[in-house]
Amino acid sequence: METAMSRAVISGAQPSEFTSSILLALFETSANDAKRANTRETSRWTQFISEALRRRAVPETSRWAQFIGEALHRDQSGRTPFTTIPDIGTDESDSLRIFNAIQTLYLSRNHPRDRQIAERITDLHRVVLGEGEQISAESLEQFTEFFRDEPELAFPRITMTPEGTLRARWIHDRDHFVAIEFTGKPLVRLIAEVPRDGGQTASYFGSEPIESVVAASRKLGACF
Amino acid sequence: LLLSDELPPDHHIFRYIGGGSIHDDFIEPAAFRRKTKGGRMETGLSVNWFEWFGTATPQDAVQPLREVLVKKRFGVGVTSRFALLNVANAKASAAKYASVSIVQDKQPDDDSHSLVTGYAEALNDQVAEQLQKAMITSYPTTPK
Repeated sequence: METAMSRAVISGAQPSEFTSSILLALFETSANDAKRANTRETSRWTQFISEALRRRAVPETSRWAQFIGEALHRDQSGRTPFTTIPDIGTDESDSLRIFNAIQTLYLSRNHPRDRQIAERITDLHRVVLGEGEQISAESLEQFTEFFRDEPELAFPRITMTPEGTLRARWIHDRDHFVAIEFTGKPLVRLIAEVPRDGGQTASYFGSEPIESVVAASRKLGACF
Repeated sequence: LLLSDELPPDHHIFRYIGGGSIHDDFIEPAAFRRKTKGGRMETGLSVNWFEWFGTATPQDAVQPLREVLVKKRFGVGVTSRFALLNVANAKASAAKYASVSIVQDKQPDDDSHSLVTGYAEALNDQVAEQLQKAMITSYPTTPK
C-alpha cells in the first residue's frame, strides 16, 4: 500500500526539502508521548534537528520519523544520537500517523495550497500539544485524504474541536459559509449557511458521506 | 437551577477559547459546543460571569479570571482567548434554535462560574454557531 513515506521515496525528496518546524512537530509529538515535552527539551531538540539537517544525517526523507524516534530513545538511555540509522519499522502510533499526514500534504506536488495546509496543521498540532490535547489521528488522516482528492478547493480556516476532530470552514460572510468536520468516520459533519432570495438565510446541520460531501454542499448552494 | 440564578440581561459572560479553536482572527463556533465526557454531554456550557469580578472593564478581569482557572488546574494555553458576550444578546441569538438560560453555577474557588443551559443535546451545534455570532470581542488570556 502506498504511504506518505513510500511516496517520499518515489519522489526522491530529500531531507532538506522539509522545514525544521515540521521535524520539530514530530519531535514534540514523540516527546509528548514520552511525557518529556518542555521548553528546555524543545530548544535542545531544535538544535539537534538543525545539526542533523546540516550534516545530512538522514539519507532519505522517509527515515526522518524513525530517526527522531530512535534518537529520542537513545537519548533517554544515555547513548549519543547521530550514530546509525535504523531500518524503517512498522510503528502505527498516533505520532507517526500525524507525521505521515503532515508529510503527505507537505510533499504534495499538485497544489501549493497543500503546503499551506501542512504548515497550518503543524502550527495547530504544536498549539494543542501545548494545551495537553492532541489532534485525532483518524480525523487528520480523513482530512488529508479529502484535500488530496479535492485540489480545487480554496485554503479554509482550519481548527480543532474540543473533541479533537478537525474542522475546515470556508467563510464568505457572517451568514455565508460552509464547514466540514472530519469525524474520522464514514459520515462527516456538514454545517452551512447560504443566502437565499429576499434576504433569507438557509441553514443546514447534518451528516454526509465523505465521498459526496462536496457535491451535497454545492447542491445546497454552498461554495468553497 | 432557580430562576433567580439567571444572570441579569445587561451583564456579560466570558467563554474560554482554546488555541486549537482559533485560526488567525477567526474563532471556531465549535468552541461554544458542550463537550461529551464519558458518553454524557455536559449539562451546560461553562462560562464565567464578568460583573462578578467587579473590575472597571472586561480587560481588567482577564488576569483574575486566568488566576481562577489556573487555581482550578485548568490548562490555560498561551494562544487561548476569553470571548466576551452580553447575556441578553447571547440568549437572543441562541433563540433562533432554542430558549437558553444563563445561570450562575458556583464551583469551589470559582464563584463566577456560570452555565449556558436548558437546550437539547441535538441543538448543540446550532446554539454554538449562534453564540459565536453573539461575541462582542475576545481577549488574550496570557499577557504578551
